[in-house]
Amino acid sequence: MKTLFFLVNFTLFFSLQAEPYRNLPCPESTYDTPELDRLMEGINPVVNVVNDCEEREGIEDAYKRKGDQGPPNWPEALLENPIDCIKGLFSGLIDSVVDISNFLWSLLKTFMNTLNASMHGTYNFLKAAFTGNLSYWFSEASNGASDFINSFFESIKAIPEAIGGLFKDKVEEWQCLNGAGQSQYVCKMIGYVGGDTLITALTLGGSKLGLISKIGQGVKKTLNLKKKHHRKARNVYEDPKNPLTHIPKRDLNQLILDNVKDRRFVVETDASGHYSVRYFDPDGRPRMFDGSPFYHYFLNKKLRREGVGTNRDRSKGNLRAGEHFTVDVPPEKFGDLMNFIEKQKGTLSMACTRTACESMKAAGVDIGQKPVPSIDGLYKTLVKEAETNPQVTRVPVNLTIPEQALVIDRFRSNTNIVRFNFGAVAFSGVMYGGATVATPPTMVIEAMSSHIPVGADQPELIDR
Amino acid sequence: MPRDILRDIPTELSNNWKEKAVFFGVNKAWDYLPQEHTLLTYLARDEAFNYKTFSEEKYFEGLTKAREIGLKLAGIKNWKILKKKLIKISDKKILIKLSGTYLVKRGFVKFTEWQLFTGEEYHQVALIENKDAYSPLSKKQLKNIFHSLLGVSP
Repeated sequence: MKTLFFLVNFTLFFSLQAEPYRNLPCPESTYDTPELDRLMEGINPVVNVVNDCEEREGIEDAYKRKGDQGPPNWPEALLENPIDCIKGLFSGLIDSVVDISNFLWSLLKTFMNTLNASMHGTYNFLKAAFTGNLSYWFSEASNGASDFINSFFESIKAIPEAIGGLFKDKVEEWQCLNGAGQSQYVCKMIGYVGGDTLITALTLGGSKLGLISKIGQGVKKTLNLKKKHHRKARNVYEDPKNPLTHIPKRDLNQLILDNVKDRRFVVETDASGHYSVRYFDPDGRPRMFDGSPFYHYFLNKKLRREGVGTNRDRSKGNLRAGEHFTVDVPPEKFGDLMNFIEKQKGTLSMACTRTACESMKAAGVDIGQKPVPSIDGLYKTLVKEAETNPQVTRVPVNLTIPEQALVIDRFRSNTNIVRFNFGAVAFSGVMYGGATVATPPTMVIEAMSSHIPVGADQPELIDR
Repeated sequence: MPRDILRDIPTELSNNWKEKAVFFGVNKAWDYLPQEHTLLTYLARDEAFNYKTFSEEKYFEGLTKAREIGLKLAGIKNWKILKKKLIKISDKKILIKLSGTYLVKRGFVKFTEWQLFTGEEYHQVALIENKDAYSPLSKKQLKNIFHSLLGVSP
């Protein structure tokens, strides 16, 4: 029953997360460009050069990834740092003396529910006896510590990639740990919940049973993790500790490398910090950094299957200084924009991400009470518009830069390059056109960048 | 935690037993000095039990599963009950005696495990020793130690 309750809540929670879009009809484009420009004046990106890892609290310095370090070499680092692993392992074990029994028992109970419902009658007896496993653990650890540790290592080594993948998505600190830190982290986790449990959960599809979430709770509890705080974009307009004058503003032109200045650079974010950056690496290759992979991961199953939301490492783990931008938009600007959109009703549509909508509501901006369509609904609407409105062209995701330039140039004559951003990063369709659909938190800077992962096939442009 | 966790091996039998530091999982532990790898542990937990729903058959089936799942991580395999006995001491008190073997890297291990369900608390004493070891411990001595640690009369 508890499992059912949990699943219902789990589903409900993410259903709510996946319903973040607002879309009003968007027929013909007749808006007043100067007025919109005026409204958006001053909403230049506030460029915060953020080094998340340096600012992280609660990570031992020896385990913290430095700015000049390359990507962590987990899981190879496991064998290079056995002491770190053992320290972490026992730290997790000791932390979890009581918790582990309840946690492991909850897993066992779940499996028993599946295997044999008649076990319920002896539930509490078995639960108590299950804690007795710890006496065997203790005995074996006492009798042969090395064998005991090796057994743990065998369990850990069996699932390094799976475990690494799990942590990447669930643990904010993951990217800020160096190889030794990731080893210690994983081993601490193993000590807490047990590698065998993780193996079972992962191989049996534990996420469907809510086990991954429970593991996540266990991680947070035993590792004393706090909710993410550095990831959230600071609202410089509301935070008295960070007055606008103290925020380092930098000219984008100074940040974009000379060899790509004539190309495209896009920062997408919403006021709560779900952002992505499309940019070019020093070699001029298009990159996308998903700043909110966990958030995006649950937006859409199709996206998930396609890897969206898990692409933090697609190019590289962390952006270097100068590549990491957040954009803050003052609430009053949101209000002005919404008023403008309201005046243009019928000619301008509006979409915002859930967090952006919530931010606007929190700022007292009336964004209406109309039902918010699902992302699929919004997408279908836009696809339909692309089919019927000659001013709108649907552009496939994987365009080469020249192909995107072709599309953009085609509409440059209309002076309005509008990108239909579905809120999610790299959703399956991106449109440009003379129509005027804008997502306030999405700003097109200079022009559009590409979605193309390096090495991806380059499909041809769909020409209408 | 259960109120009475300060149990100890009876003084007259405490020769050759040395209490050791407990670093996780159990309340107390003792090494048996004359014999390597022989270890006694005691643990206690609060737990309420509903005896009306207890099924002996399901319990032993579930216990084996619980041990399998819980012990595999530490390299403990084939945990197997060879002998078992359930003694109903009162309407709300059950004593379960188990013995059997399991396998670790150094070889087979014998275990003797007693579990006491008191209605409100769970107590467990477990002795492990290498399977091929000749134990100088007499059965009577062991029973006295187990009874003493569990706080039940023979």
